Amino acid sequence: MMKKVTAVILAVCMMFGIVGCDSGTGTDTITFSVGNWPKEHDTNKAAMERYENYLTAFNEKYPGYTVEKDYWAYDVSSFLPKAAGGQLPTLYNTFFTEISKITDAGYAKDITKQMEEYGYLDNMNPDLLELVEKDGKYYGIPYNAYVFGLWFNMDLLREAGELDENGYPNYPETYEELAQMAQRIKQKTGKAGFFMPTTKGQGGWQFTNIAWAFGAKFEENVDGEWKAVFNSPEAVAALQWVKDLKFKYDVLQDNVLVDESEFIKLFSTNQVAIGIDTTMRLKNTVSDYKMNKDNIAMYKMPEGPAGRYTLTGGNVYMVAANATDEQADGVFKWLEVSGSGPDVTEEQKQANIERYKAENEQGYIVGPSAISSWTNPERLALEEEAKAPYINVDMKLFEGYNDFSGLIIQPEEPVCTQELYKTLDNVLQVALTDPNSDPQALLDQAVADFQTNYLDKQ
Amino acid sequence: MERPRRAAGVREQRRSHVGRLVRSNFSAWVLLLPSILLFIIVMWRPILVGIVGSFCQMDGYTAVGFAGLDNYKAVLSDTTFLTALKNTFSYVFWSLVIGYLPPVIFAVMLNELVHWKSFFKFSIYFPTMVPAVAASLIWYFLFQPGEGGILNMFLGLFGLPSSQWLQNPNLTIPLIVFTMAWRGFGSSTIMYLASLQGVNGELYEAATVDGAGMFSKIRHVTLPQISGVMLLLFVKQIIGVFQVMVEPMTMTDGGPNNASISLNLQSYNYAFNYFQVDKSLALSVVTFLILIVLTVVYFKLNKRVSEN
Amino acid sequence: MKRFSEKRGTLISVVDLKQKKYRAVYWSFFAVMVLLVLICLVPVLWLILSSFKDMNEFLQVPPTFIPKSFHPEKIWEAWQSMHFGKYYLNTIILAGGSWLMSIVINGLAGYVLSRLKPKGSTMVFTLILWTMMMPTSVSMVPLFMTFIDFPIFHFSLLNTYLPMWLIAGANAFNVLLFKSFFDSIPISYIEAAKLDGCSNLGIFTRIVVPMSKPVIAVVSIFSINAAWDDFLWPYLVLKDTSLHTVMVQIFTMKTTGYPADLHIIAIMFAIIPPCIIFMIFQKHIMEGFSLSGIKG
Repeated sequence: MMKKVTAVILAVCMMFGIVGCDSGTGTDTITFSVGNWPKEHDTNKAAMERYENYLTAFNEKYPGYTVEKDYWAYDVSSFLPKAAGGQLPTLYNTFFTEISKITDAGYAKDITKQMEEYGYLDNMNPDLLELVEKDGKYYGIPYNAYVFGLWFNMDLLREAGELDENGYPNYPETYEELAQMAQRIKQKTGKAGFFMPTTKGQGGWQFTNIAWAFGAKFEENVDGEWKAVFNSPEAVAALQWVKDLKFKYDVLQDNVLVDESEFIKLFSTNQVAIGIDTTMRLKNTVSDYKMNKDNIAMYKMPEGPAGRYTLTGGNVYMVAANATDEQADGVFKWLEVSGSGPDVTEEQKQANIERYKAENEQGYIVGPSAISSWTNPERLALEEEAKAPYINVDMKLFEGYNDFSGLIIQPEEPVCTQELYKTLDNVLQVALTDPNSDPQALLDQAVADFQTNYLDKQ
Repeated sequence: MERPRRAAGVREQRRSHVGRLVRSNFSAWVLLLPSILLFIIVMWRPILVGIVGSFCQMDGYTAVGFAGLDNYKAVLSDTTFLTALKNTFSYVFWSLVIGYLPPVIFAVMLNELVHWKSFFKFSIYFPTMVPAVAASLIWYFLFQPGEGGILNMFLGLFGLPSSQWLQNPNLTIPLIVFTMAWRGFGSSTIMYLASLQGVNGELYEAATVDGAGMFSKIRHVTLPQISGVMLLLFVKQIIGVFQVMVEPMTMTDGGPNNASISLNLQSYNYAFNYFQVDKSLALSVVTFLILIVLTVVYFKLNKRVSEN
Repeated sequence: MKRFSEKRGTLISVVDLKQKKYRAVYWSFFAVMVLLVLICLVPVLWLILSSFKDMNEFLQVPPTFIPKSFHPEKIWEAWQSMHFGKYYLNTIILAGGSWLMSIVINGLAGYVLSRLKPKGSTMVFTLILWTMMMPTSVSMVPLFMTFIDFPIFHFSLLNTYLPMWLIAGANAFNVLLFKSFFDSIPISYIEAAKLDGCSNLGIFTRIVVPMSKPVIAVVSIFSINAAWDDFLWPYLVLKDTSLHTVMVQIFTMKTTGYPADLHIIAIMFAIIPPCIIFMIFQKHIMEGFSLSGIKG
């Protein structure tokens, strides 16, 4: 009986098998796929063309490879299923925050050999390399890094009279000044002065930065065991500051159960004047919401009682764990041709020129840049030279952001980072919806929860 | 010689009968086979895999070792579990108040009316056709807090203060349930109505002659007629709402501070957001068990009630 | 205006209505219904009206209910800029496959269980019926595991519509619906066909199906509507945005860089087809519904 049933099941599965399998193999070339390929979309035409150009150049130079386009771009909810199903593109990109989760789960290939061979290890910022290293092996290429800064909506600032005689904002230097400025804007324009996300971990993400400035610590390693310590008076002061934004200054957006993507939406449509974000997202204001690119200014994070902290994050390339060494080689050759390689060559320069040219033609903001991952000055100069002719915004609006003096650049908390953010999200949600909540009690509870739910299980 | 021959004939006859039976059974089974396979693949096997998997340690979606009760310990000791459990019962409670009782009342009322009756029927059923995600999103927009919210504008017209709507932890579950009920009650009302229309008018007349008032008529004539449907919908409502997930996912993502997280949403988060598939399985098995217990208790009680 | 005299014997009789008290009760019932209808229709009305507002009015504080700006051309622009036709097409493909599965697979199952009843099929029927009472929560993750790595053959059904079609093929409710309908077909027709030497499949396609138009209609409407509404599985398995169905799209639009006014228009696009289906098949749907009695 069992045999028969199995036979039948087999037969039917075969039927579906025919439907499922369509990958043609057996060619002589080595095939690899490149993720985050620009999608066919009106706003992406330039990027698409640029990638097509890279592809032509690559095919000419390396006929032994076949590049497959993969339109998938990293996002948390689709990553795991893709990875588990072996469907990740050979080359994919993700964020610094995801690195440890991905390497721990074994979905990234050890590419130490290639990084050595192609000169990445010698030319990259060692601080960034540290992020992708685990047990002496390297699992990714951090290709750019950013720090948090404040975004300012120039339209709203103008309306609120917050610009100086030359038309540049009077930037807030401290958290106190920031709150007051937001309040003035709210009173004059009726629009939210400041944005605070509280979902998808992004509330916690931004809150850690604020709390560092107030002198708070989050996780401490005591004799090899991690302790949650964010119920200190400093952390409470930071939470009180955030809570005051809602209940004392009344400057926040109406709906607080939202994430950072809501900030981009509200900011771009002149509904919010100031918020914390990075240069990485500048593009979306223009591409998604048709915001005027000249309407944005950025400044460094304000100073708190403990200093001027700014959180750093960034993007990293990873190679799918199931890739062969030959495929990985192809990937590194591709990175070279597409302008992400460490070498200073004409080809590299051309690829970079094309990138900035395309972004410029598209009307995106070209100018303010992320922290470069290169240490080699020639490589850095190459990038700057390629960019210079295409800068299309008033760089004075970004001067304060690009000036790192006085900044303490800090990476994210070391363990259970996403869980920490989630826990802090909950704290913020209460603090921003319940005027009677007690910051100390909230953080005490959060510390206890975080300790038992995550740190004790490390 | 006669005998064996006849015996052989009988045997032959029987064999051909058996043959026909087997043949017709066989072709019937062939027609049924796709269904059986699909039910195994889609319904039965996953339940078994889920139960087995909850005792395993998972790496991604692959079992890599036996974990015993570790997943259960981890899930049950997580402080979110109690919140989610409490919330889930809260969802059920509110759904009985907001979603279960009103359709009975509405159906009784609608059954009395002669004016605009088909328009009422049409309009009440209409929200049922709005897809769940679309309905959640529409209400998400309507429940916009602050001065920009349309519902707050209406409150303002009546001189009432603005509400925080979904951001108020005490309101968030009732409002999500309301959204679900908005979609759901039309169909229940129509079902009650159909069964009310089957009531023999003479019963009411007889009751009138006996001097029964309106409430007495409802109790003795109306309710007995629809009690069957009511029981059915009661179980269905509890089982359905106990598994609530998409609506809080769309409207609040479980917030504020987990005030609207349900067992299933937590299970979803484990599986698809936190990369902890084993915990997700353990939690959904716990949910499963609670539901089975509830269902069994319900049927036991129901039996006792009907026996008395 | 209808008259009270048309009223059938119910709680409040025609005689009762001569009294003022009962009239008051009657009209208060009426008022409750009007209120209810407002709750039912106003949100959708708001949605439609808001679609015509320009962005500034949409974001205006305090908001307006009746639009001051009126931009019908905006709807067409939104349709094009969002490439919404693609999502419609995807959803139609999904619904088409699900519909076929419901009719063919569930219909066959209902037929076998109702008419052919091979030995042991009652147990199968019981097992199928149980799935209606079974909580589906426990199977979400394992089923997903099945789809990303199909047992035995190890291929992935991600980014295909097959998972939803397979699920549609295992719909106990439709099987039950078919079975109870076939139970009501007079046996003599089938006997006659059998005598003519028709095979089981032949009887099904030539005798049973033509007689089953009502049940097929009901199942069709339900299955197509359910496929249009389906969110969770398409969301979980269709990771490629170009394969998104309408529901998945309007869900992800919340966080993927669309202004709120476009989002509202997209939601309107999402509810138009089911509403049209409802307008056309109103009777079928409401009757099929109360007959079936159990569909959620």
